[in-house]
Amino acid sequence: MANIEKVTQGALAKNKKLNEIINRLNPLLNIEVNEVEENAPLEIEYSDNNVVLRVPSGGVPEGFAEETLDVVNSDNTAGQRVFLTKAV
Amino acid sequence: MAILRAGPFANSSDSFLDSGTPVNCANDTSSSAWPWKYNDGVTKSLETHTGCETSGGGENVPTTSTSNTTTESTETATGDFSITSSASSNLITIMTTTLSFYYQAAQSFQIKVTYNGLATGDTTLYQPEFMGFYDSQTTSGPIEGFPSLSGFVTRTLPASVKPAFYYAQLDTASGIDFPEDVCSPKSSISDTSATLSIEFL
Repeated sequence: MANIEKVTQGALAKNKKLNEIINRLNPLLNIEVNEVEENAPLEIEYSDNNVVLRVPSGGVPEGFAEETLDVVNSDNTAGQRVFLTKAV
Repeated sequence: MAILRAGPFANSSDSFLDSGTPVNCANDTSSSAWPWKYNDGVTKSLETHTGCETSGGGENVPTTSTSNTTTESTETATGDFSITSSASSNLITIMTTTLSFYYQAAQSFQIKVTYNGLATGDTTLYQPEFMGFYDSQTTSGPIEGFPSLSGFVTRTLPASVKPAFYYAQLDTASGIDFPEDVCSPKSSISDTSATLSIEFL
């Protein structure tokens, strides 16, 4: 989405607060989301040009473990599925 | 929908065992993660003429000994598979040859089971025991023959979420008479041989 242009003429241009809001709003129109490694912290980087969100990859919910189990596929071939399992 | 694997071995009352008869993925013998396995087994009962002894009446009567052996092993199949067995003695030879496995299948599949049994001996050859083929889908009695037996059956194994059992069995037998001189055993000439083959169609 294109940036909002600043107001440079007319009565509104005299209100500096408006352009200040536009300056703050434009970076939000250029949000960039990056997936980072599983254990990295969630980060938000704000600049004049854009906002970068660094989101850790999915990972396994606490208390669960991944297990690869064999299955019979619907066409009778042998396959595998990854299950999230947790002891009860 | 996929079927979760049971096994790796099973029996008639438990689908999650560490030994017994292997559980397979339908007719897929290509997977290294879930290798296709089966049990083959051979039971031999041999009666051997060992010589003679003198009876209370003073005449010679033959003496015999009996040997019973059973071997069973779990094998891996990478396609069609078979078992061949043979046994011999100088009097009576009885042998049972089997192939067995469990399977899980999302849809039915077909196999072709071929059987070949043979009994040989000298001119006194006779049938001492049942000789025939049957499997877990036999409903109208075994297929019998003596001294030779050969043929095939095509079976449809139905879809099954729980491990379903299949086995094929070939019984062979041969017998020969005692020699005229019951104190001089014949050399080994009472033979049986059997081959069972399973082909995935």
